Amino acid sequence: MPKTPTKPSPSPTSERLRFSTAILRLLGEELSPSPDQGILELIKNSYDADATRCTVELKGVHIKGGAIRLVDNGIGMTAKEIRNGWLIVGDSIKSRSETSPSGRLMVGSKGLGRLGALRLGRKVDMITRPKSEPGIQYRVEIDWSAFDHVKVVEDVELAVEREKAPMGTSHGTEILISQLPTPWRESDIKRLARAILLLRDPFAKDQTFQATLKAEEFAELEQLAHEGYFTECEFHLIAKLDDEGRASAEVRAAGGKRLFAAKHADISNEKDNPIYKMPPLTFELWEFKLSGEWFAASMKQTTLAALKKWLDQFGGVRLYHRGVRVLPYGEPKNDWLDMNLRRSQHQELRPSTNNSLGCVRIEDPVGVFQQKTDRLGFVESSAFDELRRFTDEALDWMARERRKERERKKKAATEQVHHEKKAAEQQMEAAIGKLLPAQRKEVAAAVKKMKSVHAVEVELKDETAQLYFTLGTVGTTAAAFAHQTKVPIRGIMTDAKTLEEYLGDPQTLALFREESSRAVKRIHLEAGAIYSFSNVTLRLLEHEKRRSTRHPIHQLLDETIELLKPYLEARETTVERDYADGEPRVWCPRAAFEAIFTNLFTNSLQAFEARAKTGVVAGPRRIHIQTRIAGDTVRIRLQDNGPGIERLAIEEIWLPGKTTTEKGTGLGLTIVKDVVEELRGHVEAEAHGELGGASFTITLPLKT
Amino acid sequence: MPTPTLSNRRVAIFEDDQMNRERLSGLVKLCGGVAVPVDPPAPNLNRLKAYLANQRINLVICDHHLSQRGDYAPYFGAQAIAESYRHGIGGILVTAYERDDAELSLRLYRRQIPALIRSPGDLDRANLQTALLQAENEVQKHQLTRERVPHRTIMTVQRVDVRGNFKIVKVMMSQWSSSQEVGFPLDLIPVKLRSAAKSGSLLIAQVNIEAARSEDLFFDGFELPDTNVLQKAKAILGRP
Repeated sequence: MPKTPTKPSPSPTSERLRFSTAILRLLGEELSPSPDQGILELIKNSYDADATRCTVELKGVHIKGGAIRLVDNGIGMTAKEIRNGWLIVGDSIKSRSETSPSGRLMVGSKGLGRLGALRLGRKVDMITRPKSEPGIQYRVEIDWSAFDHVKVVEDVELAVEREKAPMGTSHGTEILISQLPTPWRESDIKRLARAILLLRDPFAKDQTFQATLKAEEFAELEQLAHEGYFTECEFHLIAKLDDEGRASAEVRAAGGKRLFAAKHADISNEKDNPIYKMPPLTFELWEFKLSGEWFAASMKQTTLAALKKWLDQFGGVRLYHRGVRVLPYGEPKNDWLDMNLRRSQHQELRPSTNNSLGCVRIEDPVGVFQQKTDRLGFVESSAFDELRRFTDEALDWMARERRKERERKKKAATEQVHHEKKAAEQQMEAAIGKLLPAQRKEVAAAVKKMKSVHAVEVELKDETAQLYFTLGTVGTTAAAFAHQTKVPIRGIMTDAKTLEEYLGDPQTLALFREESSRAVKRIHLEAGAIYSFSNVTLRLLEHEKRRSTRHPIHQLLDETIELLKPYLEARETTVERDYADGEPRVWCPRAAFEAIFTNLFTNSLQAFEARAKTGVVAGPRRIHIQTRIAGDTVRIRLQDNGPGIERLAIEEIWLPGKTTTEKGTGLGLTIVKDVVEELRGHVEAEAHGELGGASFTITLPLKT
Repeated sequence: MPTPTLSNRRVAIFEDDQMNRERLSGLVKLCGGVAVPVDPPAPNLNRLKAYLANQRINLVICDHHLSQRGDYAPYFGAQAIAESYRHGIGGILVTAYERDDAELSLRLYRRQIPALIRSPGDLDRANLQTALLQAENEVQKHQLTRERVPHRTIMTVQRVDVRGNFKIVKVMMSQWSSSQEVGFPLDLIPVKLRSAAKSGSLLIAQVNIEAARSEDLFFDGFELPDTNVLQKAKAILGRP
């Protein structure tokens, strides 16, 4: 088929893409969420221009038509810099790794925030005196109403006027934003004052740049910041990352005394302690104890109310990137480190945003961290994830150390009391020995009487303590076996529904007579199982068990196994016994013994269940108990063939709240350790014993 | 008497609790099926196909945790159903699962589980019968109920949680719910796309968004949004 001849096309015209003036509104207003954000961007420009000070003045902003004036002593701009930088929206001349003439790393970017600020008023007057052209100033005036009458942005011409600078003026830039369309509220001014004060770390010693707001609100805040109650803190955490991504940390007390110190491997929670892939940084946190009693007792220089007021204003953990603050980290209600959530789990060991103040300082010379276009936070990159990992792990480490310290103090206090008691008894006996025989007899009788009264008192206290241990054990057991109790209940519910179907129609009943009688039989069996489970709780709570007496260990072990039989059978677990010869006895309340072994059995059964939930089947479940006599002690070893202790350091398993199983309370092994120590024994654990699973060895003094 | 509709179909019952096996057998009979209580089950999933063929099984009922009490089977019920699905036999899960199961071990195989009955609340003759027939229709006749039809869905990753040895990706899908987060294992995403699952990032997957309950959602066919489209969106919205 012949081709149709094509008509010659007209020669192409040269066109340009132009932007509607509506874009100005979109970019300037939508990307700058609040007035203070825009003004902060102007201050950051001053910082980038090497200014050492920048002053913001508000003129009549309480009413419509007010003005904002910003003055800095930076290097100013030449006409070329105004044209190629200041007047281009969205294209900052600043590169992320570029530095200012004085060596500052740039903190402003894109020029969008500046646009937002300039559009706060209807008119802008900018005067800049470049350092490179002494005696000269440039002036640019922008009347935004001019943009309302044209279609595209390029249609409005802006003049850059060159003038002689007035006498006595030095280099720098002045920006006057006038004819504000809406009045500012008191809260807007307060927010701006806080934002300007916190733009640079107000507590840092090195202040090479100072931004000030000429307003009463700012002066008050600045005064408050200068109060600086850091010396009143309870703990001061200093965690650092070096150039290679290796961490180190220390915690100091109020007076500066170093309490704990850590190297990289102590802080990192992850396997093989990988380095943190991010630039060097410092994370500091001051935690305060806001308790009236502690405050009064510690002879602090300030009042609790003053400290609280200070923390209300400056609490939270702020983030300073290249020396300048990045919002919204550390703003009121911005708990970006999840400190409050973590504190809710461990009240005594964790800081919250209400009782602490801190900052993360990152220099970031290469520009790994990038701020979002709206300037609210960093883009959540892998570097930001690493930052969170570091701060989380540093806080976790501090909590771990505090917990260990608490345990150490508790143990030392108990030992101290024992020593003091023994020394006092010896002293008293020696004193009695020096008396005349007649007096000696009388005093000895009185002392004996006092001792027996004291023994009763101690026994009553022990019983109360034992009650708590027992209640704790009931709690850990209930939590571990809640699911077990639900199984028979679910069975009964299903059988009841099926029986209704059978009974609803005589023909069906006749056909399923055998099935219906089996359903009834199952209901009986399941009810029996529920009864057995509830009986465990009741038997643990029997009052008589809380009295101390001399018990044969093997009998106690057998009875505890019998008590837990419903749970052991429900989880198809066999208990193997290998007892030492003879009948060793210990002095303890039966409830204490049950608390130890109920928690250890529960621990094994939970480990079996946790492994089953991952779909791993490892053959018949076994728990092995062995007893051996060693001098005047008995060693009881309990092992299982479960998965062992994983994902938790051995020394941490005793700490309250630490668990490796989903339903564990993390209290069972804490109770075991506390009760064993109450009985003057000790307990050791192995992550993997001879059977492959966890192994616990308890040593108790024998009572002959 | 209610009309039994399973018409002598042979239904295999995988359940580690003997009494529950008996209960489910009774219900299957009540539905007109032939109950085949399985004990012991195939020792591994590779042997399951042969077992189902030898026993001439038409449908399968599984509990999810098959080793809760002891060492009944070294796999999850969800895996067994997915395996039978691949061999053209429909199955359902009858289980008292928990939230963690729903986001992890159930979600991994949810695409091949036509129906899930939560016991004991939803377990009765009528529901069991409906679910089994639905499974048969989906696997053999490829007739999916509205709640099982996948749709190309965009989602925003909220965060990635660590749960034991697994990572759970938490996402929001405004097409499904504007307020409820849904989790699925990172393992569901193809290896080369996994690094994209970060807080704030966008993912696209085939999801049955007509499902009412979060535990019924499945995720399949992951892809990343077109970068050019994303760039344009960023330019317009000014947000990353």
